[in-house]
Amino acid sequence: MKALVVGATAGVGRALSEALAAHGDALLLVARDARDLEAQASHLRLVHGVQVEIVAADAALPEDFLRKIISAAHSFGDIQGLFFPIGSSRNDDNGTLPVGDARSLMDANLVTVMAIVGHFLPALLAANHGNIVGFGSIAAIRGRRANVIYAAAKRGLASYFESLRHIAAASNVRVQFYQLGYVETQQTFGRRLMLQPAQPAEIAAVVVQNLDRDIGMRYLPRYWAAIAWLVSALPWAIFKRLRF
Amino acid sequence: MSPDATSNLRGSWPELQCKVASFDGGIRVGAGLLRPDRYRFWTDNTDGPRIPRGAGLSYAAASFREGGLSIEHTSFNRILDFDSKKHIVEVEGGISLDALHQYLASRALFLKIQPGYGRITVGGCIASDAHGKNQARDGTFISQVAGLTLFHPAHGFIDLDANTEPDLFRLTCGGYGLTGHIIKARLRASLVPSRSIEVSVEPVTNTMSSAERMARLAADADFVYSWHDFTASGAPFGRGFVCAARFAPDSGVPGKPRAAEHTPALSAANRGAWRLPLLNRWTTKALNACYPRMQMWRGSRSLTTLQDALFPVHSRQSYFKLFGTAGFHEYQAIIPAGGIAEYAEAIRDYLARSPIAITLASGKLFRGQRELLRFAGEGLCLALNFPRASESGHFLRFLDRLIVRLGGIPSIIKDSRLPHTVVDASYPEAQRFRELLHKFDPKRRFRSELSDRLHL
Repeated sequence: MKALVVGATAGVGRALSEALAAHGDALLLVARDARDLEAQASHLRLVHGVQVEIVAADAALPEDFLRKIISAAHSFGDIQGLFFPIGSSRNDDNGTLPVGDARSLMDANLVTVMAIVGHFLPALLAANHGNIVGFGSIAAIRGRRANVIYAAAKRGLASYFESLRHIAAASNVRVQFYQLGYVETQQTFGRRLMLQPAQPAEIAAVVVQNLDRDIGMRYLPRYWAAIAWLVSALPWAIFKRLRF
Repeated sequence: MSPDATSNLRGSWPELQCKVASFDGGIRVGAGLLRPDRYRFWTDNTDGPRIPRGAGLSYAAASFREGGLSIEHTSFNRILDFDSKKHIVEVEGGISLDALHQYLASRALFLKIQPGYGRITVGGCIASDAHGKNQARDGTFISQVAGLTLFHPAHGFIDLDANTEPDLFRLTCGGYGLTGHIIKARLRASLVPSRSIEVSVEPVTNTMSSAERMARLAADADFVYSWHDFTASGAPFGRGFVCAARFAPDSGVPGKPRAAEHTPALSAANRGAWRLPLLNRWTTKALNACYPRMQMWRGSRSLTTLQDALFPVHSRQSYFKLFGTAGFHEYQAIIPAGGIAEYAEAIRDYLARSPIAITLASGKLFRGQRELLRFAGEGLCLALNFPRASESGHFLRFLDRLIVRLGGIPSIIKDSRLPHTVVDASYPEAQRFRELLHKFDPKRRFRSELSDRLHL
């Protein structure tokens, strides 16, 4: 498979690019910093012997981001897998972000993903084969006083992937959406959490194992499904008192 | 939930405030820890004192200090380039020896010089100028460093090798992380003649005879070391055996290597997880009586895999846990040839008067020049392990005086309490190290408990 991985140099994205390379897939890696991309690409080429190309672009600029990917995809070849382990959050995302910053968050977490899928989807449907994999967050299960725009974007992304699955239902294009719980990344480093964060490599292994399966939406680690259900079921009178 | 704000941020990077300990359990302090995973970190964060940190397995507190900031390199753990003709591999400094070995072994290559635990990082090996299994023939880690890329906030990224910036190169290899962050390293690998190692064991009567035997073996053996029983009293004191290992034809390799990924990682925290020490004078004496018998039971010759020969600690991690929360001491020193017998006899006499459980006494032959603060020179390198207890402080001071009197040098990276007076008295270029370091970095941005203690 030739796969596009957006957000490929840190956390789940980095682990996923490693797992896909180990799986023998050719990769087009996208992230903001060329230095990280070059290091990651060199490593994957040397260790796994697969084709790896890179695109350095800023996901907060969807048009430019898409243009660079389209340009790189011409030489890379037909892409059969789209992976979006991308997430951008801010510590001051508390409901008072200026419009420019709010838009950047929406663009990086939602609009850019939609732009890329929108470009490649016709080819995937025409080929009647492929994987489109998105990643949401447990933070978006219910709106809270923190990560306001981020959670809205991720909730929108969940809806978007459900629509995609509907669009692709009659084809062999598999649309999967993973709602991630705590994962050991820069976002969780140094924080006291209720539960042990999952390792990105564990998440990536499950994603690769599930390729070509019609699984729809999944929580990872799986026990987050129960937690998400509980949080969703909390009456407003209780939920509004929680600070998390 | 996961993307929430972290209460402690340094710039845009989350900082963990935690208790950090030296691997030997001697130093436990509170410090800040960053674990960056992107290159922009180096140029984003240019201010403030800090110290690089690899796997955090140094016996001495080389990667942290009270209230300081440690920058962990373990996310920078990739292989960047490989020259199949020159056998030079370029890696990020945070890669573990084990991961690098997996890569090189698949190309029938290996690093000749590496310490016995595969989770130590390449950056850590360079910073401590670690030695391997046959220092007398192969030298220390610097011998296989073709070049490196250092980052220092005041100087940016600097490419170094033995010819380009030679002073800084030699200051960094064995510089305990005080010259900056080792971002990349280019290492010379060697051909693996075969995948199996033949180990021969022969008994010796004392430390002196083992040094003589190792001197004869060092030229053609790939790994040479000795083991001694320092719990025996009288004439049997120091009896033991010399192990010599050579690459053997690929036939009859017993089993598969004990891959590191199947072994839980050893850390300073989990080493001290068992509260009570199980090693004392009586259990140590019993173990020292059993160990040589076990070796003899295996036979004078046996086969093992290269990986297991390179990383023997993977199968002996429990040994370190037996010291309990209190921890242990390692006193490793290079004793000049003329002083080996006196060193062993002085220790024997001391232990006869004030018994201490010497859980390990192991020797290697060293050759080469002393320079700066690198642990190198001519003589027998003898490592002693013993539990951290009330009586051990007096014994350590005795060893300090003894090694200085005999003209030897104690290892800085293996002893978390080594006083600067001992280092100044034993390392002839300690002051030159300070001068070169201050010349390169007048503000001394890189600081650790080790550098504070040794007045570096």
